[in-house]
Amino acid sequence: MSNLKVHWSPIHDDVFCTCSPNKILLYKVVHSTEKPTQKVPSMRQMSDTLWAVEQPKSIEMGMLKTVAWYPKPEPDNMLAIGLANGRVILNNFSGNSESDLIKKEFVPKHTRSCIYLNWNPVDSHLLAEGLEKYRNDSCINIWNIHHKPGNELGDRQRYSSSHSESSGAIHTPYVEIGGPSETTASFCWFKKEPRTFVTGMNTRYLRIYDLRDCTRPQNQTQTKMIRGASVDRQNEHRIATFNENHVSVWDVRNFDKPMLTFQEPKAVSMIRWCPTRKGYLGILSQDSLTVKIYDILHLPQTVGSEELDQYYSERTIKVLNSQIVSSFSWHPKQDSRLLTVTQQGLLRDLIVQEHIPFNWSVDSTLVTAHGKSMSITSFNKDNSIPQDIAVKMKERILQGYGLKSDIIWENVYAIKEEPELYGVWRWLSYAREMLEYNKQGQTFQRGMMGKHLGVKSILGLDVDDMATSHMTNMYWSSDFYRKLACVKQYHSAERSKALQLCGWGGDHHKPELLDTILHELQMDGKYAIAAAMALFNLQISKAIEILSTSKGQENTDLSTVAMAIAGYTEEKNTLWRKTCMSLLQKLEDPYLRAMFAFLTCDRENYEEILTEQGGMQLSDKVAFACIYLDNDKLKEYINRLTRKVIEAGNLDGLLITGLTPDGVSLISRFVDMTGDIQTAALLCVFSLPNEMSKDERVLNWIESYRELLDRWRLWHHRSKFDIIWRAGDNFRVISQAFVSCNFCGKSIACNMPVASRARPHNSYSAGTLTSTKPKISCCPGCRKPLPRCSLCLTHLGTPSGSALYTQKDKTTYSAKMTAIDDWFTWCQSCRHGGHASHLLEWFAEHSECPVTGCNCKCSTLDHTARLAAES
Amino acid sequence: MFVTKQIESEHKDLIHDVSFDFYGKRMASCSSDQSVKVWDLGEDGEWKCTATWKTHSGSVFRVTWAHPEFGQVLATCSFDRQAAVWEESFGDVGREGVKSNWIKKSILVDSRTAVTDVKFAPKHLGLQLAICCSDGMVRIYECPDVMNISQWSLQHDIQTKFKCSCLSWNSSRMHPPMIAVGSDDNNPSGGGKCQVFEYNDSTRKWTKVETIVAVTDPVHDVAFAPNLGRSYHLLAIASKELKIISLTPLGRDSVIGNQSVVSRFEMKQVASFTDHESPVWRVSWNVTGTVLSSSGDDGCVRLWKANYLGRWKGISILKGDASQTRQDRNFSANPSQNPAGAVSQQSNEELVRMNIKRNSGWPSFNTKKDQGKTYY
Repeated sequence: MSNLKVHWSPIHDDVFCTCSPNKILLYKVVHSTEKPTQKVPSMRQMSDTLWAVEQPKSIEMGMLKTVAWYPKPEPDNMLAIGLANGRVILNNFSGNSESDLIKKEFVPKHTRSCIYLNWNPVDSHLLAEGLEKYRNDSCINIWNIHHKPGNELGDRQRYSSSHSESSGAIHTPYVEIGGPSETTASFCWFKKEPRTFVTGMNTRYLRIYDLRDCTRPQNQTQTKMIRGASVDRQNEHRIATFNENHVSVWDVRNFDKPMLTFQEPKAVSMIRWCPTRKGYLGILSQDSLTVKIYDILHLPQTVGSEELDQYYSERTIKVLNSQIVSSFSWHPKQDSRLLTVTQQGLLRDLIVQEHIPFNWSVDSTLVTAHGKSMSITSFNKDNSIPQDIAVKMKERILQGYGLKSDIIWENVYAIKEEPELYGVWRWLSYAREMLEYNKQGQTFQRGMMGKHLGVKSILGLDVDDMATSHMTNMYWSSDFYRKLACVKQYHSAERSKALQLCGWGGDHHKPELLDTILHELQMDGKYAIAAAMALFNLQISKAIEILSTSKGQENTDLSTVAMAIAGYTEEKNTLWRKTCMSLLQKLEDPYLRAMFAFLTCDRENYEEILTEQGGMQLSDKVAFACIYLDNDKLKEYINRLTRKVIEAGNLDGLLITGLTPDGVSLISRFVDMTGDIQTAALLCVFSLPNEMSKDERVLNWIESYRELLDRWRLWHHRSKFDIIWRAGDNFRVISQAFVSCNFCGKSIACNMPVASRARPHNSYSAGTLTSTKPKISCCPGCRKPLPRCSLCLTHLGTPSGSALYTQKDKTTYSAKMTAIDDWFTWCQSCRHGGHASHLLEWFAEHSECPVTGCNCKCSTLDHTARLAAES
Repeated sequence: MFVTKQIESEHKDLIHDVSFDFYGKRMASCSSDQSVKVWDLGEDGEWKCTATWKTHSGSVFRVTWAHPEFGQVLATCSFDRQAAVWEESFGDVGREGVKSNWIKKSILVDSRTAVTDVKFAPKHLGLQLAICCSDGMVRIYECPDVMNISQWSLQHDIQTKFKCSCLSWNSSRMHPPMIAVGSDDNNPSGGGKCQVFEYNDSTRKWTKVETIVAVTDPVHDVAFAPNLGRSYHLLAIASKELKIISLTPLGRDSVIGNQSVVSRFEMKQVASFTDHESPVWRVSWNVTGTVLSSSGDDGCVRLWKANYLGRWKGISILKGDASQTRQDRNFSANPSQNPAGAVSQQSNEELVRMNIKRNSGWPSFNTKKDQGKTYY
């Protein structure tokens, strides 16, 4: 099956043929959905969706050398078939000869093998045939297929001795090219100059002939690259040829030397220009598994005085795994479509894809270009990339994330779907409350005033100055029916503050506080947590009560646990313990497990609770440790936890570290992992003032986040963020612009400080009422009037039109009127101006300045304004 | 499913580059037909071509926007050895809206071969422009006076000693200026095909800090992820495979003291994908550097994303091939049935959550109740 060739029909988009040395098969391409259901003898897959159905008709013929498809629709599917004896037969698959062309034969004077056949693409009655060398005959015959056998002279007797029965045979070519003993290797017609062609001859010439004068070549060049001559249909100046493992591209206007020569690793067997895509040159090498395509963007050329180099790229098209490609054919009409056949006869239909340039916008829109077309793909909220932080951050900010500076935890409303961020906001909110409380001066703190604290700082662990804590033997609440042994707890003022930060209330002198918290938890349906908290506070009956009164889906489970706890005994090796162990296997809730762990553990060894991984909140673990660990163990535990949370980038860990260097490392790790610059920047800003506010990383997060907001054109949100950021320090943007009087050059300040200085008696009544605002229509310095509004021609400083309504109608016009309507405004470029409202109205319809004779295109100068108007 | 909209590009030849501006409301495209087009997003959400002009005497390879702080400024580069800087100026307001003119402000003609890429520096470095050429030169220009963008001075030329095909600036404001340059040289023996350069403040020179030796196949595109506060840099490389390299700066302090100590990086290959089953041609990051997209010879744009553990995975595929578009045209009568460029979602796997929290209902807390919790 080797030496298999494939040809697309030049007429039908879905028809092609394959030729082997003795058989030509015709195929029709069908989509897999239209695939005939009944068993068709030969149907072959070409691609994922396309199948080739073998047509029942075929041409079988020995000595078949080459095939060329007639480029006109009538007669249908006509092929010129060149044989090893040099004869050319016209045939179609149907075999019935409606047209007299079918079965017509063309016979050369001397019998020798046909090398190639080539139809003239325009004057399609001309068929070029290349023949092997013969000592006294020419090597290229161009046949006119409309020649009638009768036109021939007596040659027939002389040459047709072997095939006398073929009465229809034509023996006289239209034109013969090439002298005796010349050879030809390849041939291609030009299309724009249909009577001309290029041919490779005598192993060393590439010649261009014109049929109007075929005695000598019109142009020729001496080269070994004479095989496979192919004219680029997209640019007929370009010709490609090959020899052995070299491929050359020629420009006929500069025919002396090739413009480009590619070297291939193996001998080349065929080359073809893509007829539909400019610059694609397909190359097939012998024994190759791939088709190589050169995408030639530019040949070397001269532009002006500049000599420009070539520019091309290479593509390698894999066809089928480990199958040697035997031949390929470009689709004559469809873009970059390539049909290949392997030596085993497997077909593959491919499209050579263009490179796809693309770009992301800030709004998660992707623009892609494919060839000459472009498309936009948007990934908005509803069909976004799963969980992408860019989309998420924008969603959050639009929900108001990070804009609620008064009641911090309201920010959480914007991140309802992201419980992993709750913990850190809870810390912020509690730490803020603690800060407010400290500010009232009712408590001590060593150098910690005015900071959002972490547990570590509260306990004095960061400066290695841990306040002593006193150990107490606490009794279980007395309402349990069984008398239980004491449990060691540790207390100190710092510890109870830490507990409060963890949301545990913490003060063991105020049990009613615990009750409130437990009640809240129950209200929220978090019975397991409430019960665990009660138990850790030694309120065992309370815990049982909570569990048994629980409502909800899991309540059966919880009641079982309640019963189990009720049977608590301190003795070891009892049946109770064994049963509990088996129950423990089934429990999934980390808090229920912790309760059992607490009940069954050896006193003073709480590792199981403190190191559990199942989902207990960090704050609860820390709170537990603050009650039950002595100073040394607590310190060790907190330090261990710190390392762990930093490594994991677990934001909950800020509860421990606060915004210290450790905390910043923690956030840095969090940013590395999630890209959530938003939360990072917000934490840094909300926990101001803190010692890290000048840290490079912190500033970088804040700046990056601000730029992100700017890119999203959320300038209002950015400004609000800036306000929160700068609220604490004395940062003040200095006045940036002044209006000075044309005459005296003094500033025309109408802001409050000046006004109150001028009229001190007004200072207390001045404020929100516009009526008390000083009216400045002339320079306060020299009393010269201000310029006039270019539209209403009143002096600037007088109210714009809408304010001329009486005060009574305030409600009617206030809606239409913005606060800045009266403001002076002017074009930065032509320096004409007027009332803001008037100018806005003007520029809604005009782009030119309203002042006579001024051609300034004021409104088109500001691109940002246009952007804002659009969005 | 994502929704893809076709735009009539009206380009007469292959489009080589498309680029969004800072705000994502404007777009520029350039093509082998030697023209550049600017597109604006209208209020109706449609992209309209507001300017088109023919310029270079060869394919225009790349187009890129400057930060809007410097005005509406574009840079293009071309096969004709030139890079050009353009600024918009407005003409009359016509019936159809504002028609803009783009005026050539400057031509950078130092290159002796085709200019293959052009990129503006991040804003914090001022108005700077880097171009790279197939002869291996990377040139960095600066416009010292942003009010007059026709004056560009050549600040640095860096000899990369390989045929440059692409470059990318690192956007981090925390680290020294950094550029990655890729080469599409076919010769595999030439060593690493991607180099990273850093600007050294004390020597005032760009020095090579890394050669990515893992990449020896031709590199067609490189892109630094927007840094956005991360402590490391991510560099995507489009080569035979798609590679993501992370560069973690080590010991930046060693530069202190007027010593021209080269910064060191811990370099790690984070991911390498062969899913395109063919060379990768272009890469691009989203605004946060969390989603990477790549396009290859397979005619697909693939999107990649890292999970919480830093493992990168394909998340979706956008088919951009001609057959798809052909189908779309047929289906255009009923677009809802077959949205153009339909996308199959891969491994829509839930990312690993950080932690399971008790207070999933916390935001529903009542203010008063919550305050009761902390009591002093």
